[in-house]
Amino acid sequence: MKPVPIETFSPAEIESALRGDGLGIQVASFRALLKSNTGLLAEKIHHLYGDYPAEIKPHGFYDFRVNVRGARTGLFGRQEVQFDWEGSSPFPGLPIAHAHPLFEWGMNWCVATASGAHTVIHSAVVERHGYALVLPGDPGSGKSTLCAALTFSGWRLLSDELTIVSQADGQVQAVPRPISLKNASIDIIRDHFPQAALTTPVVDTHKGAIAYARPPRTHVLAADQPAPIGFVVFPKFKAGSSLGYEPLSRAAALAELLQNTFNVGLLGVNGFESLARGIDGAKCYAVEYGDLSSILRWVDETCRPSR
Amino acid sequence: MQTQPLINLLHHPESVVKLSDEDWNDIVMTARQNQLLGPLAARLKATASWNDVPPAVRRHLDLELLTAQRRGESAQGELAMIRRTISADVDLILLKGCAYLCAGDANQTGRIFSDVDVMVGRGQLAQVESELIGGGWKPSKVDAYDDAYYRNWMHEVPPMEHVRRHTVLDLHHAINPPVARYFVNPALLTATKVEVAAGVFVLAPLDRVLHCAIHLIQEGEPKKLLRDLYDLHLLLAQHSAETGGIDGLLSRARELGIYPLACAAAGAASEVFHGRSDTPRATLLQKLLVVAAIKAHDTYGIAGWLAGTAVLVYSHWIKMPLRLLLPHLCRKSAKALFSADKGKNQEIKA
Repeated sequence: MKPVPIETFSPAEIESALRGDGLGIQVASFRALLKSNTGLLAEKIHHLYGDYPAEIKPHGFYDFRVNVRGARTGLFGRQEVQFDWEGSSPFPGLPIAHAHPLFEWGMNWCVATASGAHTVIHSAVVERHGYALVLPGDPGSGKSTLCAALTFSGWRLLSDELTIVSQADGQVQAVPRPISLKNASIDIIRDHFPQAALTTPVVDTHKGAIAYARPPRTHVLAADQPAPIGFVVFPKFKAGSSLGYEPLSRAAALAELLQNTFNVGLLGVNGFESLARGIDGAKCYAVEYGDLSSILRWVDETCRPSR
Repeated sequence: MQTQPLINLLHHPESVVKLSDEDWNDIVMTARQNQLLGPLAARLKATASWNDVPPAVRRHLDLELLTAQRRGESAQGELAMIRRTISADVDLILLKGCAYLCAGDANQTGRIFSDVDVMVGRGQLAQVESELIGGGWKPSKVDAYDDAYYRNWMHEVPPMEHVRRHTVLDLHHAINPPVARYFVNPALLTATKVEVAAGVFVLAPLDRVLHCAIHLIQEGEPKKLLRDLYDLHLLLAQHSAETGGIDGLLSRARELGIYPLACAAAGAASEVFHGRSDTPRATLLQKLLVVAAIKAHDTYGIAGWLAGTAVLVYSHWIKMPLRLLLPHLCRKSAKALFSADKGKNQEIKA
C-alpha cells in the first residue's frame, strides 16, 4: 500500500491503527511506527501531521518503533504515560494528559539519536532564497517563537529543534515537524499569524503550557531539499529592550555552536571540521530584541543573499 | 521478543538475503535490547552479506559501529591518562571491554562499553587510589556501610568518576570477591599476563576467555546474558587453536578452581550459537543460562523470567557465604523500600 497524506484517514482510523499494529509516519528520511493506547494522539496527529505520508497498515522497515503507552504506576498509582522506544524509555513517565508533548519530545530524541552520524545542533533552522538561517538559543531566548514567526512569513521550516549538518557536504538537512510554542509565545503567534493552525495548549508541563503549530504543507513536502548555511543568528529576547545586534566572527559562532551540539564527542575532529566547513560562507550575528516585529524586520533586511 | 532470528543471523550472516524488510524490525529491536546491534553490524560488515542489508537498516548499523569506534577511542585516551596518573612501578591489568579492545579481540568491533576496568595488586590499592584522586578521579559517594562492604568483601573499590570528563573507572584487585565460592587467586592470573602497551597488560588469552565465562554468571544480569554469551562464543572461536580447544579451556578452569562455572558458560555459549553443546555434560546451570539469555526480554514469558531469576539468585549464592550475603541483602532491601528518593532507580548491589 502506498503511503498517503495522514489527512486522508479519519481520526477514528488513525486511533484504531495506533491501538492495533501501529501507524506508519514518514518524517523526512525517517519512517516511524507509532502505537498508543492513550486515546490522546489521533486527533493531534491528524491535525498536525496532516500532510505527512502515512499508512495505517504497517509494511517494510521502520527506523523507530515507538509506543506512547498509558499505564497505571503500581496497584493504586496514577495513570502515567511512557515513551517506549524499542522496549526502553529514554524519559521518565509523565501525567497521562501530557501524552502528546511527550510524543513530540520523544520524536525529537529519536531523530537526534538516529542522525548521530551527522552534526546535530540544538537549534531552530529555516531557509529562504536557498540559504539556511540557523537560530541557536537557550530556553527563553525566543528561538521557537522566532522560528514559528519566520515559518509563517516566507521562510521555509527545516526544524524548530534540531539543526542536522551533513557530514558529507555541510548542508542542513530538513526535518520539518510541528513547532512547539510555550506560554506567552502561544498568544503572540496566534495574534501575529491568524492563519497559523495551533493545537489547544497542554498546560502544567515541566515547560509550562505547550501548543504546537502545524507546519505548512509545502514545507513538509520539501523535506528532501537541504540548504547550505547562509546565516547564524543567536537571538536573545529581553522584554522592553530595543533591537541591537553585533556581527560575530565565524570562530566565535563555531565555538557557540559546538556548545549546543549534542554529539560533538561522538564525531570528534570530523564533526568539528564539517561544522567549520558548514559555516565557512555564513554571516553570524548576536541579536537582542524586545518585540517580534522588530526582529522580523531585522532578519528580513539582514539575512538575504548579497549576490 | 524472539531472539532466534537474531541468533541465526549472527551465526549465518549469508541468510540475510532471505530476510524481508519487515523482518528487520524485530531483528534491529532485539539486537538493540540485547546490546548486540554493534556486534551484529560488525559481523555483517565483515562478509559480503553487508551488500544485501537494506540501506535504511545500514544507516542504523553504521551509526552503531561509529559510536562503538568513538567510544573505543575515548576509552584509549582515558586509559592513557590513567596510565600517566599512576606510578610506573604499578602494572595495570585491563579487564573486560577495555581488555578486548586493547588486545584486538574478535568481539571488540561494534561492542559498546562505558566503564574502564583496571586491576592492580591488592597491596597497591591505597597508593593507586590516592594517585587517582590526585588526578581528578573522585571516589563514589557511598555511605560508610557500602564503603566497608566494598572494602571488606568485594574484589573492587567503589567506582571512581572523573570530575570533569565524568568517565567511570572500576578499580579491581581480583576478578571476583575473595569470599566467593569460586575465588580465583589473582596471582595465578597475573603470572601469565600479556603486555599490550608500556605498563599496560591484559590477561593471557585463555584467562580472558575464562574471565568472560565466569563474569557472565557472577554478574547474573539476565538482560546482558545474550551479549555476554556472544562475547564468549567469539573469544572461544578466536583463541581455540592457541588454547587447546575446549579441553585446554576446561583444564585451565580446573587449575583456577572455576571448572563448574566455565563448563556451564562455555556449554551455554555453544548451545546458543552453534545449536549444540561441546562440553562434557550439560548442567542445570547451563540450561538456565540458555533459557535466561534467549528469553530475557520476553515481555509475557514466564520461562525467561524464571530462568533469569534463578541465574540471578545463583550469582548471589556464589558471590559470598550466606552468613555475609543474607544480612547484606536484608539491609539493601530494607533501604530500597524505605529510601526517601524512591524515584531514583536504586541499584541493589550485592
